[in-house]
Amino acid sequence: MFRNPEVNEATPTRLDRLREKLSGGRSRKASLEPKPQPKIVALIPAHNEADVIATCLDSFFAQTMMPDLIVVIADNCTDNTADIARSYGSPVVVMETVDNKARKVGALSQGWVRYGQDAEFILGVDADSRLEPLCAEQLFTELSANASAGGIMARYTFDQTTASGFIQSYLLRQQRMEFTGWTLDLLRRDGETYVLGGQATLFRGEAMRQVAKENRREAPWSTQTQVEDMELTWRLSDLEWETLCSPDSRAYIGPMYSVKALWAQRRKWDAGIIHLLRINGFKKHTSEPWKLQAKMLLDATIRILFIVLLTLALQRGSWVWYWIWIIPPLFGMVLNYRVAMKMPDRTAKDVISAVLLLPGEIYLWFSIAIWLTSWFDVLFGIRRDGWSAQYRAEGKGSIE
Amino acid sequence: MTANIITNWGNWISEFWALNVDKWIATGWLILGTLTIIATLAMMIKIFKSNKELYP
Repeated sequence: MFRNPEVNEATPTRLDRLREKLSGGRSRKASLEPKPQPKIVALIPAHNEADVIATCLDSFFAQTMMPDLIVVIADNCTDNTADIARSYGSPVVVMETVDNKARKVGALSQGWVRYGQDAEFILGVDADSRLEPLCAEQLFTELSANASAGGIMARYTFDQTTASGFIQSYLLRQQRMEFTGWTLDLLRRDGETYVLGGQATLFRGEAMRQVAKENRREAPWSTQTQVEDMELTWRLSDLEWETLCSPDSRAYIGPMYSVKALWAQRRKWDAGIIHLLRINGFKKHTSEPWKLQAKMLLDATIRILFIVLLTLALQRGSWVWYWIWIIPPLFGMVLNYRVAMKMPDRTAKDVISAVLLLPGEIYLWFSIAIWLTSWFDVLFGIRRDGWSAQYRAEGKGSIE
Repeated sequence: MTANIITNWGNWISEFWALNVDKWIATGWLILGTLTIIATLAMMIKIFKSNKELYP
Protein backbone atom coordinates (compact mmCIF):
# COMPACT_ATOMS: atom_id res chain seq x y z
CA MET A 1 0.00 0.00 0.00
CA PHE A 2 1.26 3.45 -0.90
CA ARG A 3 2.47 5.30 2.15
CA ASN A 4 4.03 8.68 1.96
CA PRO A 5 6.95 9.04 4.37
CA GLU A 6 5.98 12.62 5.16
CA VAL A 7 2.84 11.46 6.95
CA ASN A 8 3.19 11.14 10.67
CA GLU A 9 1.53 7.81 11.43
CA ALA A 10 0.95 8.71 15.08
CA THR A 11 -1.20 11.77 14.38
CA PRO A 12 -4.67 11.31 12.89
CA THR A 13 -4.66 13.25 9.65
CA ARG A 14 -7.29 14.16 7.09
CA LEU A 15 -6.19 11.11 5.13
CA ASP A 16 -6.62 8.92 8.22
CA ARG A 17 -10.12 10.29 8.69
CA LEU A 18 -10.85 9.57 5.04
CA ARG A 19 -9.54 6.01 5.43
CA GLU A 20 -11.63 5.64 8.58
CA LYS A 21 -14.66 6.76 6.62
CA LEU A 22 -13.87 4.28 3.90
CA SER A 23 -13.50 1.51 6.43
CA GLY A 24 -17.17 1.75 7.33
CA GLY A 25 -18.87 2.62 10.59
CA ARG A 26 -22.03 3.86 8.90
CA SER A 27 -23.58 0.50 8.19
CA ARG A 28 -26.81 0.92 6.28
CA LYS A 29 -27.60 -1.12 3.24
CA ALA A 30 -25.26 -3.94 2.43
CA SER A 31 -24.35 -6.74 4.79
CA LEU A 32 -20.90 -6.47 6.30
CA GLU A 33 -20.67 -10.18 6.96
CA PRO A 34 -17.60 -11.59 5.25
CA LYS A 35 -18.38 -13.51 2.13
CA PRO A 36 -16.17 -16.45 1.26
CA GLN A 37 -15.77 -15.86 -2.47
CA PRO A 38 -16.63 -12.36 -3.61
CA LYS A 39 -17.47 -12.33 -7.26
CA ILE A 40 -15.77 -9.44 -8.99
CA VAL A 41 -16.39 -8.97 -12.68
CA ALA A 42 -14.33 -6.49 -14.65
CA LEU A 43 -16.04 -4.92 -17.66
CA ILE A 44 -13.75 -3.37 -20.28
CA PRO A 45 -15.60 -1.77 -23.21
CA ALA A 46 -13.26 -1.54 -26.20
CA HIS A 47 -13.80 0.09 -29.58
CA ASN A 48 -10.72 -0.33 -31.81
CA GLU A 49 -8.26 -0.43 -28.93
CA ALA A 50 -5.71 -2.83 -30.44
CA ASP A 51 -2.84 -0.48 -29.61
CA VAL A 52 -3.64 -0.25 -25.89
CA ILE A 53 -5.67 -3.31 -24.82
CA ALA A 54 -2.55 -5.40 -24.09
CA THR A 55 -1.22 -2.77 -21.68
CA CYS A 56 -4.57 -2.71 -19.92
CA LEU A 57 -4.80 -6.51 -19.63
CA ASP A 58 -1.14 -6.84 -18.60
CA SER A 59 -1.90 -4.51 -15.70
CA PHE A 60 -4.75 -6.83 -14.66
CA PHE A 61 -2.38 -9.81 -14.63
CA ALA A 62 -0.02 -7.81 -12.41
CA GLN A 63 -2.74 -7.16 -9.80
CA THR A 64 -2.34 -8.41 -6.25
CA MET A 65 -6.02 -9.31 -6.45
CA MET A 66 -7.43 -10.50 -9.74
CA PRO A 67 -11.12 -10.17 -10.62
CA ASP A 68 -12.89 -13.50 -11.04
CA LEU A 69 -13.77 -12.59 -14.59
CA ILE A 70 -12.38 -9.97 -16.96
CA VAL A 71 -14.79 -9.27 -19.79
CA VAL A 72 -13.43 -7.42 -22.81
CA ILE A 73 -16.45 -6.10 -24.67
CA ALA A 74 -15.31 -5.66 -28.25
CA ASP A 75 -17.65 -3.04 -29.63
CA ASN A 76 -17.87 -2.71 -33.43
CA CYS A 77 -14.13 -3.23 -33.75
CA THR A 78 -12.52 -3.20 -37.17
CA ASP A 79 -9.07 -3.99 -35.78
CA ASN A 80 -7.75 -7.03 -33.87
CA THR A 81 -8.70 -5.88 -30.36
CA ALA A 82 -10.73 -9.06 -29.80
CA ASP A 83 -7.93 -11.39 -31.00
CA ILE A 84 -5.38 -9.74 -28.73
CA ALA A 85 -7.73 -10.04 -25.75
CA ARG A 86 -8.57 -13.69 -26.56
CA SER A 87 -4.89 -14.59 -26.54
CA TYR A 88 -4.78 -13.94 -22.76
CA GLY A 89 -7.10 -16.82 -21.87
CA SER A 90 -8.82 -17.28 -18.51
CA PRO A 91 -10.01 -15.26 -16.65
CA VAL A 92 -10.25 -13.00 -19.70
CA VAL A 93 -13.30 -13.57 -21.86
CA VAL A 94 -14.15 -11.65 -24.99
CA MET A 95 -17.66 -10.83 -26.05
CA GLU A 96 -18.55 -8.94 -29.19
CA THR A 97 -21.48 -6.55 -29.09
CA VAL A 98 -24.52 -7.28 -31.22
CA ASP A 99 -26.32 -4.48 -33.09
CA ASN A 100 -24.95 -1.90 -30.69
CA LYS A 101 -25.70 1.68 -31.72
CA ALA A 102 -25.37 3.14 -28.23
CA ARG A 103 -21.54 3.31 -28.20
CA LYS A 104 -19.87 2.74 -24.83
CA VAL A 105 -23.16 2.60 -22.92
CA GLY A 106 -24.47 -0.08 -25.26
CA ALA A 107 -21.27 -2.09 -24.87
CA LEU A 108 -21.32 -1.81 -21.06
CA SER A 109 -24.99 -2.70 -20.93
CA GLN A 110 -24.58 -5.81 -23.07
CA GLY A 111 -21.59 -6.87 -20.98
CA TRP A 112 -23.46 -6.28 -17.73
CA VAL A 113 -26.56 -8.17 -18.85
CA ARG A 114 -24.51 -11.18 -19.95
CA TYR A 115 -21.83 -11.34 -17.26
CA GLY A 116 -22.28 -8.69 -14.60
CA GLN A 117 -25.81 -8.48 -13.28
CA ASP A 118 -25.29 -11.15 -10.61
CA ALA A 119 -21.83 -10.02 -9.61
CA GLU A 120 -21.12 -8.73 -6.13
CA PHE A 121 -18.77 -6.09 -7.49
CA ILE A 122 -18.32 -4.63 -10.95
CA LEU A 123 -14.95 -3.16 -11.86
CA GLY A 124 -15.47 -0.80 -14.79
CA VAL A 125 -12.21 -0.09 -16.60
CA ASP A 126 -11.52 1.71 -19.87
CA ALA A 127 -9.45 -0.18 -22.43
CA ASP A 128 -6.82 2.57 -22.41
CA SER A 129 -6.43 2.53 -18.61
CA ARG A 130 -3.55 0.87 -16.79
CA LEU A 131 -4.09 -0.15 -13.18
CA GLU A 132 -1.29 -0.04 -10.64
CA PRO A 133 -0.71 -3.50 -9.11
CA LEU A 134 -2.52 -2.72 -5.84
CA CYS A 135 -5.39 -0.86 -7.47
CA ALA A 136 -8.08 -3.59 -7.55
CA GLU A 137 -7.24 -4.83 -4.05
CA GLN A 138 -7.35 -1.34 -2.56
CA LEU A 139 -10.64 -0.52 -4.26
CA PHE A 140 -12.10 -3.82 -3.08
CA THR A 141 -10.87 -3.38 0.50
CA GLU A 142 -12.26 0.13 0.73
CA LEU A 143 -15.61 -0.61 -0.91
CA SER A 144 -16.29 -3.90 0.86
CA ALA A 145 -15.56 -2.26 4.22
CA ASN A 146 -17.94 0.67 3.68
CA ALA A 147 -21.49 -0.58 3.44
CA SER A 148 -22.85 2.85 2.50
CA ALA A 149 -20.68 3.24 -0.59
CA GLY A 150 -22.12 2.34 -3.98
CA GLY A 151 -18.89 2.90 -5.87
CA ILE A 152 -15.30 3.98 -5.41
CA MET A 153 -13.04 5.43 -8.06
CA ALA A 154 -9.25 5.19 -8.31
CA ARG A 155 -7.14 8.35 -8.41
CA TYR A 156 -6.39 9.13 -12.02
CA THR A 157 -3.30 10.43 -13.71
CA PHE A 158 -1.53 10.08 -17.06
CA ASP A 159 1.79 8.61 -18.06
CA GLN A 160 3.91 11.53 -19.30
CA THR A 161 6.45 9.16 -20.86
CA THR A 162 3.93 8.11 -23.52
CA ALA A 163 4.06 11.60 -25.06
CA SER A 164 6.36 12.42 -27.94
CA GLY A 165 6.98 15.86 -29.40
CA PHE A 166 6.15 19.30 -28.06
CA ILE A 167 2.36 19.31 -28.52
CA GLN A 168 1.81 15.89 -26.97
CA SER A 169 4.09 16.69 -24.02
CA TYR A 170 2.32 19.99 -23.47
CA LEU A 171 -1.18 18.49 -23.65
CA LEU A 172 -0.32 15.58 -21.38
CA ARG A 173 1.31 17.82 -18.77
CA GLN A 174 -1.75 20.09 -18.70
CA GLN A 175 -4.12 17.11 -18.39
CA ARG A 176 -2.00 15.75 -15.51
CA MET A 177 -2.08 19.14 -13.82
CA GLU A 178 -5.85 19.41 -14.35
CA PHE A 179 -6.54 15.95 -12.89
CA THR A 180 -4.20 16.57 -9.95
CA GLY A 181 -6.12 19.72 -8.99
CA TRP A 182 -9.45 17.97 -9.49
CA THR A 183 -8.51 14.93 -7.38
CA LEU A 184 -7.06 17.18 -4.69
CA ASP A 185 -10.42 18.96 -4.49
CA LEU A 186 -12.22 15.60 -4.18
CA LEU A 187 -9.92 14.38 -1.41
CA ARG A 188 -10.41 17.67 0.46
CA ARG A 189 -14.15 16.91 0.49
CA ASP A 190 -13.48 13.60 2.26
CA GLY A 191 -13.33 11.79 -1.07
CA GLU A 192 -16.92 12.52 -2.08
CA THR A 193 -17.17 12.70 -5.83
CA TYR A 194 -19.92 13.81 -8.19
CA VAL A 195 -18.57 11.52 -10.89
CA LEU A 196 -17.28 7.98 -10.62
CA GLY A 197 -15.17 8.13 -13.75
CA GLY A 198 -15.58 5.13 -16.02
CA GLN A 199 -11.80 4.81 -16.37
CA ALA A 200 -11.35 2.66 -13.22
CA THR A 201 -14.18 2.40 -10.71
CA LEU A 202 -15.37 -0.46 -8.52
CA PHE A 203 -19.16 -0.58 -8.09
CA ARG A 204 -21.21 -2.52 -5.61
CA GLY A 205 -23.34 -5.01 -7.55
CA GLU A 206 -26.35 -4.41 -5.31
CA ALA A 207 -26.24 -0.66 -5.96
CA MET A 208 -25.98 -1.21 -9.71
CA ARG A 209 -28.96 -3.55 -9.73
CA GLN A 210 -30.92 -1.02 -7.68
CA VAL A 211 -30.17 1.78 -10.16
CA ALA A 212 -31.27 -0.39 -13.09
CA LYS A 213 -34.46 -1.44 -11.30
CA GLU A 214 -35.46 1.98 -9.94
CA ASN A 215 -34.88 3.65 -13.29
CA ARG A 216 -36.50 0.83 -15.25
CA ARG A 217 -33.44 0.19 -17.36
CA GLU A 218 -31.99 -2.97 -18.75
CA ALA A 219 -28.63 -1.95 -17.25
CA PRO A 220 -27.50 0.79 -14.83
CA TRP A 221 -26.18 3.13 -17.54
CA SER A 222 -28.37 5.58 -19.44
CA THR A 223 -28.34 5.80 -23.22
CA GLN A 224 -29.72 9.34 -23.01
CA THR A 225 -26.46 11.00 -22.03
CA GLN A 226 -22.91 11.32 -23.31
CA VAL A 227 -21.52 11.33 -19.77
CA GLU A 228 -22.91 7.98 -18.65
CA ASP A 229 -20.53 7.70 -15.70
CA MET A 230 -21.73 10.99 -14.21
CA GLU A 231 -25.39 10.12 -14.79
CA LEU A 232 -24.89 6.78 -13.05
CA THR A 233 -23.15 8.51 -10.13
CA TRP A 234 -26.11 10.86 -9.68
CA ARG A 235 -28.57 7.97 -9.81
CA LEU A 236 -26.52 6.24 -7.10
CA SER A 237 -26.65 9.44 -5.04
CA ASP A 238 -30.43 9.63 -5.57
CA LEU A 239 -30.61 6.22 -3.91
CA GLU A 240 -28.40 7.54 -1.08
CA TRP A 241 -25.34 5.52 -1.93
CA GLU A 242 -22.05 7.25 -1.22
CA THR A 243 -19.81 7.81 -4.23
CA LEU A 244 -16.15 8.13 -3.34
CA CYS A 245 -12.65 8.68 -4.62
CA SER A 246 -10.05 6.33 -3.17
CA PRO A 247 -7.15 7.97 -1.31
CA ASP A 248 -4.81 5.10 -2.19
CA SER A 249 -5.54 3.28 -5.45
CA ARG A 250 -4.11 4.60 -8.68
CA ALA A 251 -4.88 4.16 -12.37
CA TYR A 252 -3.09 5.65 -15.36
CA ILE A 253 -5.77 6.59 -17.84
CA GLY A 254 -5.75 7.27 -21.55
CA PRO A 255 -4.87 10.87 -22.40
CA MET A 256 -5.78 12.85 -25.48
CA TYR A 257 -2.64 13.34 -27.54
CA SER A 258 -3.84 15.92 -30.05
CA VAL A 259 -5.68 19.22 -29.84
CA LYS A 260 -8.40 17.77 -32.08
CA ALA A 261 -8.93 14.71 -29.88
CA LEU A 262 -8.88 16.77 -26.67
CA TRP A 263 -11.38 19.21 -28.16
CA ALA A 264 -13.70 16.35 -29.15
CA GLN A 265 -13.45 14.63 -25.77
CA ARG A 266 -14.03 17.80 -23.77
CA ARG A 267 -16.89 18.95 -26.02
CA LYS A 268 -18.55 15.62 -25.32
CA TRP A 269 -17.94 15.95 -21.57
CA ASP A 270 -18.96 19.62 -21.29
CA ALA A 271 -22.10 19.33 -23.42
CA GLY A 272 -23.04 16.15 -21.56
CA ILE A 273 -22.56 17.75 -18.14
CA ILE A 274 -24.46 20.92 -19.06
CA HIS A 275 -27.30 18.87 -20.50
CA LEU A 276 -27.46 16.72 -17.36
CA LEU A 277 -27.35 19.77 -15.10
CA ARG A 278 -30.25 21.35 -16.94
CA ILE A 279 -32.31 18.17 -16.54
CA ASN A 280 -31.39 17.51 -12.91
CA GLY A 281 -31.45 21.09 -11.62
CA PHE A 282 -29.89 21.96 -8.28
CA LYS A 283 -29.54 19.08 -5.83
CA LYS A 284 -26.98 18.18 -3.20
CA HIS A 285 -24.99 16.05 -5.62
CA THR A 286 -25.20 18.57 -8.46
CA SER A 287 -24.00 21.51 -6.36
CA GLU A 288 -20.33 20.86 -7.11
CA PRO A 289 -20.71 20.68 -10.92
CA TRP A 290 -22.85 23.84 -10.76
CA LYS A 291 -20.05 25.54 -8.79
CA LEU A 292 -17.61 24.50 -11.50
CA GLN A 293 -19.91 26.05 -14.11
CA ALA A 294 -19.92 29.28 -12.10
CA LYS A 295 -16.12 29.17 -11.89
CA MET A 296 -15.83 28.75 -15.65
CA LEU A 297 -18.20 31.69 -16.14
CA LEU A 298 -16.03 33.79 -13.84
CA ASP A 299 -12.81 32.72 -15.60
CA ALA A 300 -14.33 33.39 -19.03
CA THR A 301 -15.83 36.78 -18.08
CA ILE A 302 -12.60 38.05 -16.53
CA ARG A 303 -10.50 37.12 -19.53
CA ILE A 304 -12.91 38.36 -22.21
CA LEU A 305 -13.57 41.59 -20.34
CA PHE A 306 -9.83 42.15 -19.88
CA ILE A 307 -9.10 41.76 -23.60
CA VAL A 308 -11.99 44.07 -24.58
CA LEU A 309 -11.11 46.76 -22.04
CA LEU A 310 -7.40 46.60 -22.77
CA THR A 311 -8.05 47.02 -26.49
CA LEU A 312 -10.41 49.95 -25.92
CA ALA A 313 -8.09 51.63 -23.42
CA LEU A 314 -5.07 51.32 -25.74
CA GLN A 315 -7.11 52.60 -28.67
CA ARG A 316 -8.19 55.67 -26.74
CA GLY A 317 -4.79 56.19 -25.12
CA SER A 318 -6.17 55.85 -21.60
CA TRP A 319 -4.11 52.82 -20.60
CA VAL A 320 -2.43 53.19 -17.19
CA TRP A 321 -0.41 50.45 -15.50
CA TYR A 322 -0.93 49.79 -11.80
CA TRP A 323 1.37 47.44 -9.89
CA ILE A 324 -1.60 46.05 -7.97
CA TRP A 325 -2.54 44.15 -11.14
CA ILE A 326 0.35 41.79 -10.61
CA ILE A 327 -1.28 40.35 -7.46
CA PRO A 328 -3.79 37.94 -9.12
CA PRO A 329 -1.16 36.35 -11.42
CA LEU A 330 1.16 35.99 -8.40
CA PHE A 331 -1.50 34.08 -6.48
CA GLY A 332 -2.12 32.02 -9.62
CA MET A 333 1.58 31.10 -9.70
CA VAL A 334 1.58 30.09 -6.02
CA LEU A 335 -1.57 28.00 -6.45
CA ASN A 336 -0.19 26.30 -9.56
CA TYR A 337 3.07 25.60 -7.73
CA ARG A 338 1.22 23.97 -4.85
CA VAL A 339 -0.80 21.77 -7.20
CA ALA A 340 2.29 20.90 -9.25
CA MET A 341 4.11 19.77 -6.10
CA LYS A 342 1.31 17.24 -5.58
CA MET A 343 1.50 15.82 -9.11
CA PRO A 344 2.20 12.10 -9.27
CA ASP A 345 5.53 11.35 -11.05
CA ARG A 346 6.39 15.04 -10.78
CA THR A 347 9.42 16.38 -12.65
CA ALA A 348 11.16 19.76 -12.65
CA LYS A 349 9.54 20.50 -16.03
CA ASP A 350 6.09 20.09 -14.46
CA VAL A 351 6.88 22.63 -11.74
CA ILE A 352 8.46 25.12 -14.15
CA SER A 353 5.50 24.82 -16.51
CA ALA A 354 3.08 25.43 -13.63
CA VAL A 355 4.94 28.45 -12.27
CA LEU A 356 5.31 30.06 -15.70
CA LEU A 357 1.51 30.45 -15.81
CA LEU A 358 1.36 30.92 -19.59
CA PRO A 359 1.08 27.18 -20.46
CA GLY A 360 -1.80 26.79 -18.02
CA GLU A 361 -3.39 30.02 -19.21
CA ILE A 362 -3.37 28.86 -22.84
CA TYR A 363 -4.96 25.56 -21.73
CA LEU A 364 -7.59 27.51 -19.79
CA TRP A 365 -8.46 29.60 -22.87
CA PHE A 366 -8.85 26.35 -24.78
CA SER A 367 -11.13 25.01 -22.02
CA ILE A 368 -13.16 28.24 -22.00
CA ALA A 369 -13.68 28.01 -25.78
CA ILE A 370 -14.94 24.42 -25.39
CA TRP A 371 -17.17 25.39 -22.50
CA LEU A 372 -18.71 28.36 -24.35
CA THR A 373 -19.40 26.36 -27.51
CA SER A 374 -20.89 23.55 -25.43
CA TRP A 375 -23.26 25.94 -23.64
CA PHE A 376 -24.18 27.44 -27.02
CA ASP A 377 -25.06 23.98 -28.37
CA VAL A 378 -27.14 23.06 -25.34
CA LEU A 379 -28.99 26.40 -25.18
CA PHE A 380 -29.82 26.30 -28.88
CA GLY A 381 -30.77 22.62 -28.84
CA ILE A 382 -27.94 21.50 -31.12
CA ARG A 383 -27.29 17.80 -30.51
CA ARG A 384 -24.00 16.32 -31.68
CA ASP A 385 -22.78 12.76 -31.51
CA GLY A 386 -19.86 13.36 -29.16
CA TRP A 387 -18.70 9.74 -29.20
CA SER A 388 -18.53 9.66 -32.98
CA ALA A 389 -16.59 12.95 -33.05
CA GLN A 390 -14.15 11.64 -30.45
CA TYR A 391 -13.62 8.32 -32.24
CA ARG A 392 -12.90 10.19 -35.48
CA ALA A 393 -10.54 12.64 -33.76
CA GLU A 394 -8.66 9.76 -32.14
CA GLY A 395 -8.41 7.93 -35.46
CA LYS A 396 -10.58 5.04 -34.27
CA GLY A 397 -13.10 5.30 -37.08
CA SER A 398 -16.76 5.84 -36.38
CA ILE A 399 -19.90 3.84 -35.78
CA GLU A 400 -22.86 4.96 -37.86
CA MET B 1 -35.58 65.24 -44.59
CA THR B 2 -33.95 61.78 -44.81
CA ALA B 3 -30.54 63.37 -45.03
CA ASN B 4 -31.28 65.37 -41.90
CA ILE B 5 -32.32 62.24 -40.00
CA ILE B 6 -29.15 60.45 -41.07
CA THR B 7 -27.01 63.43 -40.12
CA ASN B 8 -28.76 63.78 -36.76
CA TRP B 9 -28.47 60.06 -36.09
CA GLY B 10 -24.77 60.14 -37.00
CA ASN B 11 -24.24 63.13 -34.71
CA TRP B 12 -26.09 61.42 -31.91
CA ILE B 13 -23.95 58.28 -32.26
CA SER B 14 -20.69 60.22 -32.25
CA GLU B 15 -21.84 62.35 -29.32
CA PHE B 16 -22.89 59.26 -27.39
CA TRP B 17 -19.56 57.65 -28.12
CA ALA B 18 -17.57 60.75 -27.29
CA LEU B 19 -19.46 61.47 -24.14
CA ASN B 20 -19.93 58.03 -22.68
CA VAL B 21 -17.35 55.60 -23.92
CA ASP B 22 -14.85 56.46 -21.20
CA LYS B 23 -17.55 55.99 -18.62
CA TRP B 24 -18.37 52.59 -20.15
CA ILE B 25 -14.70 51.65 -20.02
CA ALA B 26 -14.42 52.84 -16.41
CA THR B 27 -17.49 50.81 -15.47
CA GLY B 28 -15.96 47.81 -17.25
CA TRP B 29 -12.72 48.13 -15.26
CA LEU B 30 -14.74 48.38 -12.05
CA ILE B 31 -16.63 45.16 -12.87
CA LEU B 32 -13.40 43.45 -13.93
CA GLY B 33 -11.70 44.56 -10.72
CA THR B 34 -14.53 43.16 -8.59
CA LEU B 35 -14.52 39.83 -10.44
CA THR B 36 -10.72 39.62 -10.19
CA ILE B 37 -10.89 40.19 -6.43
CA ILE B 38 -13.42 37.34 -6.13
CA ALA B 39 -11.20 35.05 -8.23
CA THR B 40 -8.11 36.03 -6.20
CA LEU B 41 -9.90 35.34 -2.92
CA ALA B 42 -10.94 31.91 -4.24
CA MET B 43 -7.30 31.22 -5.14
CA MET B 44 -6.15 32.39 -1.69
CA ILE B 45 -8.58 30.02 0.02
CA LYS B 46 -7.22 27.12 -2.04
CA ILE B 47 -3.62 28.12 -1.37
CA PHE B 48 -4.08 28.35 2.38
CA LYS B 49 -6.22 25.22 2.71
CA SER B 50 -4.08 22.49 4.15
CA ASN B 51 -3.47 19.61 1.78
CA LYS B 52 -0.33 18.32 3.45
CA GLU B 53 -1.58 14.77 3.92
CA LEU B 54 -3.49 14.46 0.65
CA TYR B 55 -1.90 12.73 -2.32
CA PRO B 56 -3.88 13.08 -5.54
